[in-house]
Amino acid sequence: MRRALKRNEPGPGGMLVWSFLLHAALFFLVTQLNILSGVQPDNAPVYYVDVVNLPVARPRSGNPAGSTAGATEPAPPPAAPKPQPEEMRLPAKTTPPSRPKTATAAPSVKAKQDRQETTQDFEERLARLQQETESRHESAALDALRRRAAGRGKGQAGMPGAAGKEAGSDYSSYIQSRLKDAFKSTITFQSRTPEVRVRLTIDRAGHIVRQRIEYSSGDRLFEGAVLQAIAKAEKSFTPPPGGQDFEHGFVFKPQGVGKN
Amino acid sequence: MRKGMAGLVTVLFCGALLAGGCAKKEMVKGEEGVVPPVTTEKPSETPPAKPSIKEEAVKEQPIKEAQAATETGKEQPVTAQAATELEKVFFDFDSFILTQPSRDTLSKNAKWLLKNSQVKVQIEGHCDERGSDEYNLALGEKRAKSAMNYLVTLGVPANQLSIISYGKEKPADPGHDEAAWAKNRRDEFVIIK
Amino acid sequence: MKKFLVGLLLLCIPSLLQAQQGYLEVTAPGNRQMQLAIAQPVSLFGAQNADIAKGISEVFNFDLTLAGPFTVMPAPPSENRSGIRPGEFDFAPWQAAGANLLIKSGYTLSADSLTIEFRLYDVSRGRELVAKRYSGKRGDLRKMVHTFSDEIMLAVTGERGPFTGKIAFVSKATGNKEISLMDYDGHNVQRLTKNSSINLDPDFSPDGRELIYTSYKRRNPDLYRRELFSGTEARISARPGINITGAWSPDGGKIALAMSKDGNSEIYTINKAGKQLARLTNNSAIEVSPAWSPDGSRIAFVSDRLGKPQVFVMNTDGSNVRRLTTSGAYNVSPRWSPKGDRIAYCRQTSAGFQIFVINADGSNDSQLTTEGSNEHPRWSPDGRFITFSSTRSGKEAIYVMRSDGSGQTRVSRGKGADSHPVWSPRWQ
Repeated sequence: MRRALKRNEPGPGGMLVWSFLLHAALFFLVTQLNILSGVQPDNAPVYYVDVVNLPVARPRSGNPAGSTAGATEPAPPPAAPKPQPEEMRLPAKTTPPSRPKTATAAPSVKAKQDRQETTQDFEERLARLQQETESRHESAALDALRRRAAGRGKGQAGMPGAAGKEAGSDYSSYIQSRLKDAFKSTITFQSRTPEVRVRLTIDRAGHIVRQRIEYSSGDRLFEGAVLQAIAKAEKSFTPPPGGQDFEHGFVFKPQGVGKN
Repeated sequence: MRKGMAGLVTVLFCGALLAGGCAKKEMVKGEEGVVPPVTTEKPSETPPAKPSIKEEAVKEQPIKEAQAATETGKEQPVTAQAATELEKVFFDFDSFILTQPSRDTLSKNAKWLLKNSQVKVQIEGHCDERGSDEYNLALGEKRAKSAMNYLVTLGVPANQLSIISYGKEKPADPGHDEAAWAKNRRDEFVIIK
Repeated sequence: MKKFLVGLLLLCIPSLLQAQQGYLEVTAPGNRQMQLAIAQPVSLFGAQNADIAKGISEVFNFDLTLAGPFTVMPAPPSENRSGIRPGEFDFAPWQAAGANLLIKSGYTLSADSLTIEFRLYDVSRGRELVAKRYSGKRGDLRKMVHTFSDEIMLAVTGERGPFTGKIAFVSKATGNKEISLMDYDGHNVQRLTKNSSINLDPDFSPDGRELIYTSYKRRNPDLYRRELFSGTEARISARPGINITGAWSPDGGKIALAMSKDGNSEIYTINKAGKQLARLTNNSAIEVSPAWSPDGSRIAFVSDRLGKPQVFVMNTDGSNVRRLTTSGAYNVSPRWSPKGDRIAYCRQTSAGFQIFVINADGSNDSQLTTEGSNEHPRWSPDGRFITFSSTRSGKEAIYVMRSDGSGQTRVSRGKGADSHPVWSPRWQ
């Protein structure tokens, strides 16, 4: 095959055409792949705001149902500069996420109140508390974003000790950080290396309509902790961007377990 | 050439990407197959009233108190009596080997036994409290047996002798120091009828 | 061109990796205890009864604090609606108090008959996990609560709890060593033997209905088998010399024991009638304390064939003997865990006996106790706990701990020395 190609070696112009065609093919494949692989907004976000590691008054009450949350939130941060790999994709597709929390806080609150009328007082108290931390999060997050947008592309910001591929400022990593937050308060296990993989489907209102355990190492205690974390985290979910259902897989593990 | 390489490499990459995608799908699918049970859990039906709750009569299985009457000490057939004429024999820690003083004592005991050949004697092996009780039962027996074997070599008829081990169950001295332990690592000679 | 290729490579690799992963990782540090709230038990019919309510809470508290995965919350929050069934109360105050799990109990007491309804809720998810009702006499209260504790363990950990189990043990309350039986938490002591001689080494049959033990009541350490419920008893091994440390095989068909009929103490097996004798060991050293692996394929035992007592393992036909414990000069009383992966045993140290646990392959030898002298480790049927005897509070008493050595708790309440505990199998 090499020989055949060698014989037909085209001139510089042909080379350009070749190159273009191949790039186009690759581009097509990548985008196609993205479509095939479902509704995940994207795969390799680089910019990441770690909600989890910011100070939280009470991690247990990770519940953002502030009734006025939307009003006082700072404006959504500027769309993050596109990370390199995404040049291979359709730019239009990956831009929207920005900060879904700020953009869509209001509907979620409404939905929330519908669902939990009985606990309204409690919710309100929590909401006030939450709002404070929330705005702290936001400003810290914005700062971090600005710093990063201004300076180094792949900085140290984000989760300390994380590889940078952990997540991005998109909806899936937003959900991921919510789950992490809730998981902190529920994690318990009785086996050495427990693992549970769950696929979550979130409807356009931000509710989990389906959760499927796709794999479990069999630690019942750990499974309970995962389900509790999901239930807790769900209370703080905002609707996915673009009015679409969202589906993604999450793998739950104890920290530092199974990494070596 | 270079471009040919480029084409080749690009094609390979595309293949890799596709393969990666496919592999992922297959993997997930496989796992779905593996784990059917836990899907989105159905909210466990809340039993509204009595009938739906599983009735479980808690019936204590009667555990009879021991039939004391049938077994109280009366089954102990032999009336044991310490043979004052027969001296105790002592051992080192975790040992059943007869020391020279022990052998001297046993020689004296043998003479008495040969003189009183109608008397049957049981040799009791005992241990100090430090070992485990199971192991000490076996050790106590070895102590009794080594005394018996020595007596037999001195001419005492074997049918005049029997052995039993009490391990650490019957200390002669209830203390918890070396003096007490030394007294407890012993063979005693008991006359039985 | 080369740069381009390298660039292409770099661009493709992340997406390749990402595509293969497909899952976002959610991790959290530590291993927390679940916050368990026990709601004040309420009367479902008739007057409230403070004793009943207190009894229920106390038994739950003891069982589930010992269990390990839970922290029992000290004070329940006040409720506006305090029903026990779904919809009859609000989760909000429990959520606000930080509870993960909630036990609701309702009782009905009429004359001497008592009915209790228990419900376990997942507070985070607002969902009922298990509900049961038990009826019996008023005196069955503790047993009812233990039974639901077992259910809670099943619902939360996937393995039924051992709290309805009994512990058989050797009691010196009368001055003689007699076999007694008590709830695992030390209540309801019943004496089984009253022969005023020496009774040792009880072991349950796998169905929990029979007990074997060694007794000197006929002036020799013979092995007896006793039906627990009828009290019927048979002497099944009275061979010359010792007949001690009987251990029932997991299938109930055989009993392994140490006997000295052939000269010195060796390991044998017999059937439960005392027949079909088979000799497993043959040497001049002491062999005692056989312990079956849960699959019945191997037996751990103590031998001093190398000078000092050590734990060895062999096949049940006596072949393939290998040494298990390699450190410590004096290791005795092995007991195989119900899962088969570990063996608890007892080591003589400069500070008395201590309980150790070692993997069945000889790795990971670790000490569980330090205080006082601790002997006779025996596993609970779920392998979650080990019961043992300890001198840490003076006279020997029965203790229970988790199998990692945590939560060491005295359970026997007698003033006499109590030793040789055995946790009963689950009673079907």
